[in-house]
Amino acid sequence: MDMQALDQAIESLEDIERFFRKGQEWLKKQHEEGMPGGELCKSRSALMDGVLGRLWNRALVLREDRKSPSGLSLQAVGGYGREELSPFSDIDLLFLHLPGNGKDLKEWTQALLHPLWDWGLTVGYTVQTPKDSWRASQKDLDLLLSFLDARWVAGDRGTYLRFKEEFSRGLKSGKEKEVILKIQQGALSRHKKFGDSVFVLEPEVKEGKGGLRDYHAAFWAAEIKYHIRSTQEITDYSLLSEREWETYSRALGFLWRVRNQLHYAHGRREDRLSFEDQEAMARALGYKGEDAFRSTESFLKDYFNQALQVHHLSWNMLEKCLNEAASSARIWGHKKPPEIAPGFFLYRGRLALSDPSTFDRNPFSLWRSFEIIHRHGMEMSATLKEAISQRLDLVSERFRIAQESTRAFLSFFEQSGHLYQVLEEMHETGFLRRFIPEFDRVHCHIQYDRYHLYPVDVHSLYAVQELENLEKKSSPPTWPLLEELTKEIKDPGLLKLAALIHDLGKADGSPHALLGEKIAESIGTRLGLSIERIDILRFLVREHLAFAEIAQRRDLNDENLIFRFAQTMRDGERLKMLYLLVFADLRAVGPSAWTAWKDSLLRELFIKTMHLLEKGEGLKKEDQERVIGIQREVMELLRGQVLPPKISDYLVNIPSRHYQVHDARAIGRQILMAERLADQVVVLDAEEKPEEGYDEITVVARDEPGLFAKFCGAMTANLLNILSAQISTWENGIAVDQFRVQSLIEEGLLQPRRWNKLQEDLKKVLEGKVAVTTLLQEMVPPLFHRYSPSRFTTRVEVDNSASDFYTVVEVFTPDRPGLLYQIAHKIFEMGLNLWMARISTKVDQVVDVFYIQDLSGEKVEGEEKISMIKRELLEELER
Amino acid sequence: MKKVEAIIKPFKLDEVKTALSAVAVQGMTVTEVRGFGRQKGHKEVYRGAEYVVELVPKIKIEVVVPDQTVTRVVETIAKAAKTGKIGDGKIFVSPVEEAIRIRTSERGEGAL
Repeated sequence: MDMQALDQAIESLEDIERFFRKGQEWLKKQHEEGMPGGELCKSRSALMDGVLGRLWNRALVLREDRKSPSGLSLQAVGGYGREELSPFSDIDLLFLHLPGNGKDLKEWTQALLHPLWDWGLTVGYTVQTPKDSWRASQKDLDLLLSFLDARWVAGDRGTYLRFKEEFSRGLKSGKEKEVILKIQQGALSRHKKFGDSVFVLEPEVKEGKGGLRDYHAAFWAAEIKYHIRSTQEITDYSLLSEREWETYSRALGFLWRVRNQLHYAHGRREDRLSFEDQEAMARALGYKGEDAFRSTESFLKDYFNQALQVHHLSWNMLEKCLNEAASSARIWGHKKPPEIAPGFFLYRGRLALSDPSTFDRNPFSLWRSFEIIHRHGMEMSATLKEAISQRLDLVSERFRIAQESTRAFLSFFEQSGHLYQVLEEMHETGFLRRFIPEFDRVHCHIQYDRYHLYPVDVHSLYAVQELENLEKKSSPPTWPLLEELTKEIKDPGLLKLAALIHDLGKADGSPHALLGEKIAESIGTRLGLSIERIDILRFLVREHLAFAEIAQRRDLNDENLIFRFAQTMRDGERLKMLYLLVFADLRAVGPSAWTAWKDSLLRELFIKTMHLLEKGEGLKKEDQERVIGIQREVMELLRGQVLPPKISDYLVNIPSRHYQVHDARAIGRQILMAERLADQVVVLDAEEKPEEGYDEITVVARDEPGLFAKFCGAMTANLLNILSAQISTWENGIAVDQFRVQSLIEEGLLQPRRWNKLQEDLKKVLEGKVAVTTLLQEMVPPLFHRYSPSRFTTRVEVDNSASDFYTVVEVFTPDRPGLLYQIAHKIFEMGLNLWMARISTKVDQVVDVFYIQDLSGEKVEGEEKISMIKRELLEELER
Repeated sequence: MKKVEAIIKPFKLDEVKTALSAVAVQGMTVTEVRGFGRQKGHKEVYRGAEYVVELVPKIKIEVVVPDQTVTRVVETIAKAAKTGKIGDGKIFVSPVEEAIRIRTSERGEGAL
């Protein structure tokens, strides 16, 4: 240093340490008071300059000859050289000496380094001649880049200048391009190593994509190419426009401030924003929200926004340094570039614009660039991206709804091509947010939990990509059923559009499905879709969460649940599209969202629902509306007699099929009967229908195995022939059976004697006081002989594929009194449970269909068991 | 201390969680598993293609509790997870030698 410094009193090590520590404290305080990131880094460098200067001075004074070793100079390299020191960043030093003066430096360097180590700093250093430095850097790119940032701190300036000369000479030798390419490649592999995306759960502020290293890469490229020495010169060389530079420095400042805070929070060097760090970071940086979650989300949104900018602009700079020119005219000069389409050509495999004013002259030519990408799948050059980004003002309201725009946009979805590539370029240039403004609100919107990896906009694009991938047949098929469905659906373009917009409702928090539906309608209308297609779009967005939730949270063995779900789905086409959308959605959430485990459940729901839809019973819209109408009517009818919540409870527990066969009046009556079960074991009601030739009896009791058999037996014993029956078991365990009967004797059913006996018999049977067989024995025997053998043979069919939930047994046999009791009793004896039955008599033949389960609540499985059922029933019937 | 391990139907998870918190069981480990017992799995047929599910998806819950609460915990889980139909699952109880809370180094029941 100079004489002035020597004149000062020799500072002791303690003094210098105090100076150092005080400086660190001051820095911390400045940071806490909001000092911008870049400024803090610079200040810390200045502090270290001061410390090193004082140490150098002291070493000087302590030497005998009061002279520093001839030709020795001290440089700051790496981050320190760039004056970008975070609170606990390493200090990297380069001691340069002249050839021949290499010995005796040890004492000197130790005098500087030991104190630093003692004070807890991590210091790296090398001692070399300028030429050695150059040679070493030839073999090691990292070393070269570190030296590129060298900055003189103390000692012989001459040596430093010689070193600089060595480097600029060496670099001029035409190796620049090679080095810059290496830098770019290095960046690409670094990206891969750290998640290959700006959006990761735990961002790496330095090494990740969009991290500070991207900025370093760009800066080094600029240093090598244009020999710039400071960031101010970046705009001088048009590497970035003024406006871009403002954005860039703001983004860098943000990253530095985050990094500084990370260092202070951990008390050491730390560049990873771990999950645990994120909440504290948000608080420290002053993000206030209604709760910690919201403020952390807000912080992360900003973080990713800034990181995106850093990556984007750094990459632009890198590209420019590689391509040598900012405009195509300078590249080609006189040679006309081979055009891939009017106004567009390929440069280094990327799409570029021949004439920068293309968009100004015709805004709709913006679509041309995307169309080319859709067709060929190449990437956009940095200049084309820039051209689009800078003319986003052309995407006006009129542009958005113009037919040319909507047609072009929809064609990307409906025609085969590189859809994801197009969407990605639209997203990166900001075009997507302008064309579909709803995307603006979810830009970088992160859902703060360990489950959602990507912000909503990126996630939506990935969902589209998943659907695209599914269409490319893989061999062997990874997801055979889904790949099958992808081929079956009639409107794959609409599905992909749904995938793009399905989460746009998230900007306003939950529940986002309903809000998303409104947005879907809005977008669909704007794009000029037909009413049917808008309807499907809304359906998909509205129901996309329900599908996954039902599959995982509800009992898929409950037929009624599947039935109600099928009603919501309405048709197989919608169901298929929904399943595909849910697949794409889950795959695009993050690494752990989609598993084969989950798919088992989703697939089960899909197939069961599909089966019901294919059968189509009771699932039409009119059927649903009918049910709602009946329910309303019942609420009205029973008002004043039963409390509304109780009525609702019943209505919810009544299986959908029951609504198909009974009207509101009947159901209302049945509910009143069920209410009386509180103090009666069975409740009967009957209606004489002489015009029809039968009487209708409704029996209500608590369900138990063999109940139906008991009813049949008691009725037979009371001289009633059962013509048909509707059996229903309500989900709250109440059996509601309706019989159409014919009396076998003259006396009317409702005659007091007869009616009372029937009620009494049923009561005694259900209370266990008398067995059905006893009642039958007491019956007048001759009745059984009144029927002559019929010409119809007896047949028993067991169908195990008609339903996912029950085994269906069909019995064809000549009619005779007591038949139904026989069959029902046999079913009970075989240990089977009767859920539902349709009993009917055609002339003298009976066609009875029984829906049964075994006692563990499942379909009957196994060939043996099924044959046994057939055999035993046949035996019983032929007795 | 005992470890109570329960294999239950996936849709019963919420119910069991709620029931356990009502008997003051604070923490648990939940895993998505597949398996079979008497419920052998089933076949799903779509457009003639069979999708055989031999391993049925279930949820495994593990809790470690003090000895005196084991019976209550087992009963609670069984009641909440039961549907009466096949495939309801099973509960296993095994002894636990030691439990340590990593953050504070507490041992024994205090770590639960």
